[in-house]
Amino acid sequence: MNEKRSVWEYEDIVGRGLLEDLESLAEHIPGSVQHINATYTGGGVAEILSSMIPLFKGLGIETDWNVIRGDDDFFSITKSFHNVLHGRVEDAVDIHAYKHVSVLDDLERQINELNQRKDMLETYLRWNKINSEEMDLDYDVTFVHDPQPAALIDAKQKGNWIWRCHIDVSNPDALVWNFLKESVSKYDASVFSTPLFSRPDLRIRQFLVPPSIDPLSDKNIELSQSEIDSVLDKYEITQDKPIITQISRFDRLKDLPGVIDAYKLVKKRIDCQLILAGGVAADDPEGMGVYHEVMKKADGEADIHVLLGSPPFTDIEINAFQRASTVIMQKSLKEGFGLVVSEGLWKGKPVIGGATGGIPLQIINGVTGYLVHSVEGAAFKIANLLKDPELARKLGENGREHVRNNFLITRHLKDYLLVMLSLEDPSGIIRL
Amino acid sequence: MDFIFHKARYQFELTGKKARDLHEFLAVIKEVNESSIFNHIYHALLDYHLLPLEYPNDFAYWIADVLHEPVLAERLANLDLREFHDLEMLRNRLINIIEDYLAMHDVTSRAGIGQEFHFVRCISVVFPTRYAVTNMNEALDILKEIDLDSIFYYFVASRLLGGGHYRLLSQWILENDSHELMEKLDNLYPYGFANMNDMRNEIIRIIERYFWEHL
Repeated sequence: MNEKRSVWEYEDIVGRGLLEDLESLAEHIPGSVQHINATYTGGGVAEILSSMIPLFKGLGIETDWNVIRGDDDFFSITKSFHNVLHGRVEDAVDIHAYKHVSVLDDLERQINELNQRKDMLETYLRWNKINSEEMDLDYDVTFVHDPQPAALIDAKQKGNWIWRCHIDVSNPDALVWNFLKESVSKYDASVFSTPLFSRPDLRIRQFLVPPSIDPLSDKNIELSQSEIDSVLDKYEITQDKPIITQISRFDRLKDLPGVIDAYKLVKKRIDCQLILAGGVAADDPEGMGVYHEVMKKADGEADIHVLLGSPPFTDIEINAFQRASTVIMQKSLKEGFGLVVSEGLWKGKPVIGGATGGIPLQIINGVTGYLVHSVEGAAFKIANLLKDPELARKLGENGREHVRNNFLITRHLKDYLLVMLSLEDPSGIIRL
Repeated sequence: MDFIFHKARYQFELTGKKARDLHEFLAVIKEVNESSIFNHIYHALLDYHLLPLEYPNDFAYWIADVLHEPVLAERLANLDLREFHDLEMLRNRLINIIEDYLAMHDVTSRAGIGQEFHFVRCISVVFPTRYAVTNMNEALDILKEIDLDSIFYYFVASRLLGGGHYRLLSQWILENDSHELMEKLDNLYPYGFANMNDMRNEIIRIIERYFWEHL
């Protein structure tokens, strides 16, 4: 990825002050910067880096983005790492499954598991070593994203190394975390999205940098009404009644049945329609099952549009669904940061979400949307917003401003520059 | 002599300290870095919402929302920050309020998992802006257009966290104008303003009135 992008393309969105600051801060970044993660495409990290790297370059910072390679075994293992670090033991599957070791488990089973895990950990380390031998690691600042490449730190040659953790590791599988911690502890600093996702047992500096959306990406860019109409026509959705939308994978933790139940309660009083649009993660064997359950629950309801993105929806389609909505839902039972909430808020829509993960940072209850704890609570808030368009408009407007100030890529870029500069001096006041 | 306006941007860093109940909270308040106290009390001044938030600082918000102690939260929300000329004074006041409350109330509520209060400190990265002035008239014009982070830096952060630029601003005003104007600006404290824009307007009003009275 060699293209540059000027931060000044964002001037109409964020104003001059921040952009001038980005230029001032960038002048003091020492030398070259590298970002390393596991993939160029797919997933939130790749999406953010796709926007971020050209901006780094546009600021005149010599920046490279490289990904590690590995075989199917390696990526299957790191997927399991992700799941058990994220506290999603139920998602760890097949031969690579990890489980929390319980004192009640019988000894033989524990030994088998530990042996199996030992093989996996060795595979993980072997692929990190292969990558470290193949990659150029001679940079002044190296950001390593998430667990997959974390052990590259063993080949550190120079500069500051920062481990950027995008996932929630507050309640991990102890064995996997302790293994990973061996590597992470060797970094100069770490970065977490929120204090809720951090670790008390990590002795290196821990900075806070929430993730962000790119307002100029296809997923968030302004669309004309004709572009929105064309997407809705394609999926045979009319716009003659208010639309409630949840964009999420077909995953139990997104509580899609709860969204349908809330919709049904509202529908008794107010004519409206519901869009549930999302995909099924390739590594989630339950996904299709959840999709079929949702289809069954929606059966006979003409105004519920259950849309399975296969092939995946384009970013413009997701954008159009959100922009056509009156109310956006993210009624998750468990969530990572849940940036889809910021996507909805940025489009000026009130968002109703579950109070979990990063959602409460984005939904300020009663200001940018509503945090709900039950089907009934969700229904009550949806109905309020459908009955009171002025309230919905006001919350949506607040939400857009909240995202403008806190969750755009330009703020994210500023934070990374500040983290790099903060490493130079632990005193707390850095004078440039 | 030219005066170059500076500003700061802030990066947040976990202190590793957190509290689950009021007793733990008090213990951390007694020892946590000053920049963490500053961050949790003042950062809301730089957050913009079109609707006012119920509590103006993180401490009050958590005590109300998680510990369900609204009386204590209101006391912490209504701190008169004009009383505090340094963060140690502010820390001592927080300690007194909480200890007084604990002496009169049996507070047993405890935050659930994920609801703990995480103490976060802010790192100030201070740098010059492109704005340089030679006299107070020019300074007044710049104050009207410079972004709010600069106002916050000079009139809030630099006075409490250090960084020295408020002192340099004072010296420059004393050299160019008068002790009287500086006294008026010295008496300006951020709470009492709904946001930094209101504070900027008050600074401009003070300077303009001073000029008008001394024409």
